[in-house]
Amino acid sequence: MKTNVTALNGSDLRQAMLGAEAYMELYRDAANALNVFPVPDGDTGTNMLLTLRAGIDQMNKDADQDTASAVAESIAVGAFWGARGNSGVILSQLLRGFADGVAGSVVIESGDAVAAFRSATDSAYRAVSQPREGTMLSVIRGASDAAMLASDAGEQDVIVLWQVAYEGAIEALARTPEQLPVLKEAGVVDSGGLGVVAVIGGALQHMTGQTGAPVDLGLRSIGGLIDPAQTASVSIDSDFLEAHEAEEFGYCTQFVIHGRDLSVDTLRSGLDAIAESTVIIGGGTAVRVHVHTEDPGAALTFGIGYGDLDEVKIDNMSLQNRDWASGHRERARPEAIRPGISVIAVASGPGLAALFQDAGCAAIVPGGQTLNPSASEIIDAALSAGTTDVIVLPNNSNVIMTAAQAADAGADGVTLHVVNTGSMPQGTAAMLGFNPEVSVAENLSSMAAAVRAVETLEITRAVRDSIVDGQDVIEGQFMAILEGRLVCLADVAEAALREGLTHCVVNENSIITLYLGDGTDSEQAAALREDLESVYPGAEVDVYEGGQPHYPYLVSVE
Amino acid sequence: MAVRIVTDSTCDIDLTLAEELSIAIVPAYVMIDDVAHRQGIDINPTQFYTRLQSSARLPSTSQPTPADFTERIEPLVDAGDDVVCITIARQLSGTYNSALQAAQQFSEGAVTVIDTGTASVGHMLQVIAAAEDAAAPDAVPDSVVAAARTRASRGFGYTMVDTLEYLQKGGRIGKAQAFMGSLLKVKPILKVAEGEVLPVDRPRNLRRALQRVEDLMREHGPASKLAVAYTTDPAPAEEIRSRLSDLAPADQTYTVQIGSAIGTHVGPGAIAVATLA
Repeated sequence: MKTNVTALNGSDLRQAMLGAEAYMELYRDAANALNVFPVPDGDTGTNMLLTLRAGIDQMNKDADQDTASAVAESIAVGAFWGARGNSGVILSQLLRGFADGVAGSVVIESGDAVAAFRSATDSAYRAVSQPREGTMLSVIRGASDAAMLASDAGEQDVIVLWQVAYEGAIEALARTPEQLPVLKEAGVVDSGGLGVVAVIGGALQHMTGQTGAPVDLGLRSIGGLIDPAQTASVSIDSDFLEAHEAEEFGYCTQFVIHGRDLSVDTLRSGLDAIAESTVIIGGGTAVRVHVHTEDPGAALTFGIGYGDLDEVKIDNMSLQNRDWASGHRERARPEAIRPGISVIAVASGPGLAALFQDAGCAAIVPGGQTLNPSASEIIDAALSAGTTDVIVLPNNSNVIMTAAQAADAGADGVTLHVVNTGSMPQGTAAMLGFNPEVSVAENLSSMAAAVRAVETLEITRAVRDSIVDGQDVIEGQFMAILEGRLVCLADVAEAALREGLTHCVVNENSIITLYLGDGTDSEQAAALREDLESVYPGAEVDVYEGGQPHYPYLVSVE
Repeated sequence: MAVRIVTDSTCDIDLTLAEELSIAIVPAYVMIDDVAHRQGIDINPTQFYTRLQSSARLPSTSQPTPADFTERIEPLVDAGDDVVCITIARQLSGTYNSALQAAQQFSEGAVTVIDTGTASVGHMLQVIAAAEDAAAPDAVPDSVVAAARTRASRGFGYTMVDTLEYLQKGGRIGKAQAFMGSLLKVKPILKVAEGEVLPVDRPRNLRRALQRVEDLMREHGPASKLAVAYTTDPAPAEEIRSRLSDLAPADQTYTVQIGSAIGTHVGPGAIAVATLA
């Protein structure tokens, strides 16, 4: 092990981050498996890995940067846009804080490292509206506190400090089940916290020169609680990663310009002369350009006059089609961002996507139940909506923070607003509360009221044995989850649904809506509907093909 | 010398009431399979809705011609009466323009044309109120016209449709386009403001739609007159009427069936409700 290292330069930090990525990847499945609910969605490890990877991609693009401060900044920017899921958003804010903590430093000395861990911790806590202990927040704080103590005791070696921080993180992770009863009950440590430990530990491995294939750091047995056999493998559909908006005519031309003192206004006035629907985000040393034009060459030639081009992407909009959107509704392509309000929704499953489009959503961000979308995917969809105000329906509790991050960032000429829909049924209720003829404030209020009027019951299958809310859950059992709380278990989905409904407020004025998942038998659903109509006389039972993965039934009661 | 009220048939006023109030009605046309029918004369609502749902091509509507107005107005002017002609919103129909052209054939001031800015029962209530003004023993044309113009800017009401399909096919959907979508079986609630169809809300079923319409009407408060209308099913309209019975005097409350002109655009299963301050 290298010791007596007093400072990390930019190149050291690059190497360290590659280590963080390698070990996050190694522990991704372990983090995924630590989901308190044995449900197959919202994978923490995958979200953290993809967020970190977005930061590394940006770092690699900014290859000419050689100060530690600039490298940290690149990572923070990339992670911000690539943040997926709640854990990804918190990680991105942690990386943002780290970059702020080393701002202006050519190299990271021991004092800078302590400041960076402190700043990362503060920033992560600020990312959450109601911070709780026993989460990844506690873990980064454990790292920060340990580093600070060692520094106060006179430690000057940055690598030793990092090692101390890593040990502090491990101790904090081991404590999480004591801090958060749901973890203890489920027999797990916090999944996001494991990710933070893997990131700090992976960085340390590379700092100390161990850059070969990742080795087991023994993290799976922290707290003696994790069973390595529980790790599940998760495959990522590359189509989702490549998902992008569809357009109707001309060429949708997107590229990034790397240059100096780039002015959004100057670029826009130049591009407006040769293209339509010009949207530019960023500024300074990098901007992202999105235009619609009959001549993509002219737009690229214009861009090259301002710096180096990257991420050039040209799509023939007239040839594109959206196979997952069966609505086939003609959508006039806005000439530019026009005054007005539109709604975009995160939706998984062809039926749900079509339902949101049919109800008037300007764009659909694929994902939610499977892969959580990133902040930049949400921004891209918002830009494609073509109006000055865009209301985002995250439709999954693990996407709400990403949507908020996208809204905070905003985009050139477009203001994003988020209605906190934690499920698809809440999303459809919110959508029906939307009226483009009234103000944004009125819409946000009526859509939020529509969400409050809906109870969501989700039926899914346990992917492993667990204990949730005091109940033993056996792998393969169907769970009925009401507003995020496990209310009953059954061996068949329909039975879980029937019993789950007994926990809902159903009366003769209720509307019970069933969204059938991918593979759910429609005849069985029809029988279920008849049954429910006789159990709840007067209530209306509507059935829609949702096509969502993992959840045979999504149910709303309103 | 009297003040006489003329209107077009799209307001769907009861013909007996129109006769009592001496209101002259100029019929609009509905074209079904290339045959023109005069509304309320050649075709009644029951016949019409049967054809609407079975006809291969959606029927289309056509405004009365200037000559149709002239034909009804001429005898009144010849008798020395002043004529006030009250029409459906000009943005929704060419009827107002036909009436205006007809008016220009008479001496200046003899015929005044007023755009109600609305349609159906909202239009009807304005016509009834103007006819009552005109029937007063001391009625003078200027005051009848002034009162009618004031009412035109104060109409209030909502329409609930079973589907927006008919409004879209007929080209009258306006900003309610935002509520298009047929997968979720909603009951869109619309209003007409300054001649334009605007979206208001889209409840999930009829029961909630009726509740919403009731709430919206209550928010607006009591009225001198109230009217409800339906295309094919009188029950929801009667339900709204009875729920709102405290908003207007019983003898100033009306129920009518929407005829072919408006029915072509709102379709089966629609209801409308309107009040006059």
